[in-house]
Amino acid sequence: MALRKTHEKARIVQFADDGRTLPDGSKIIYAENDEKIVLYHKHPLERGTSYVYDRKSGRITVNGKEGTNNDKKLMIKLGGYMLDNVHDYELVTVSVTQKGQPG
Amino acid sequence: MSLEVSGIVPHGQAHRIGTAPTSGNRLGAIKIVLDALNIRGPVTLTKTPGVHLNQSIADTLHSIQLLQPNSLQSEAIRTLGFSNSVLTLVTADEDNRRKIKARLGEVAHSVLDPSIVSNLEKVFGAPFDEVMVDDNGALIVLNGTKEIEKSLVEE
Repeated sequence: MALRKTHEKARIVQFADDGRTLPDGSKIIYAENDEKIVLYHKHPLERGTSYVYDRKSGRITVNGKEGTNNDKKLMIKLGGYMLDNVHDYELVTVSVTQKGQPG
Repeated sequence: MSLEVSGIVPHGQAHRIGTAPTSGNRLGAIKIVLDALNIRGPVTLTKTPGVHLNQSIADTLHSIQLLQPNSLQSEAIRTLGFSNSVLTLVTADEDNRRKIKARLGEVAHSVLDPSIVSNLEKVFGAPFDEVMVDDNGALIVLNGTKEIEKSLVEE
């Protein structure tokens, strides 16, 4: 079943320390499954921005709205900013599965 | 309402840490990501057994255990649909940086003009391993350990 497969494959990568922020004070969470790549970016006291890249169609949505190539570049830039400011040992991977399914 | 955490305690013994209330903020961020991935309803976030927990993960588990939600947070957790959910962490030794770089390369690849990609791949004789974007938004193509000058991409 497609839904089950999606759930088994989903992963989230985030800082192990909840209090850890990037140098500009923001936080980024990365997630992926077979269909999508997600970056969620949030500054304190501001609404977060969710970048969702569809791996099959190559299209991007930003906070649910259709995005452009410039949005893709911004997503990549944010991802690069995250990678430039984090070590692997600071990250945790969260495996996401529906309850009752194997993780 | 709470998350549950199962895993290996820092001294290596398999241990069910059990139900562990956590903050609404953490759940809020995770929930947004789950929504983006079209994941609905109760979820299990699980940690692979038998992996070594580094101090960061141990600290995270510790902090999750200690957090007690206030009434507003409990309401937020309930509203977010995280009742009966389980949080499971995977080892940090997954080379997350490499994985994320590769996925970002996927996104970057979709930005490139296909004809430029095709020409560059002919020149270098192999598909690109990674495509990244530098601080100025210029595309950088990586092939193995060799960085192809971005000027080539821009030509």
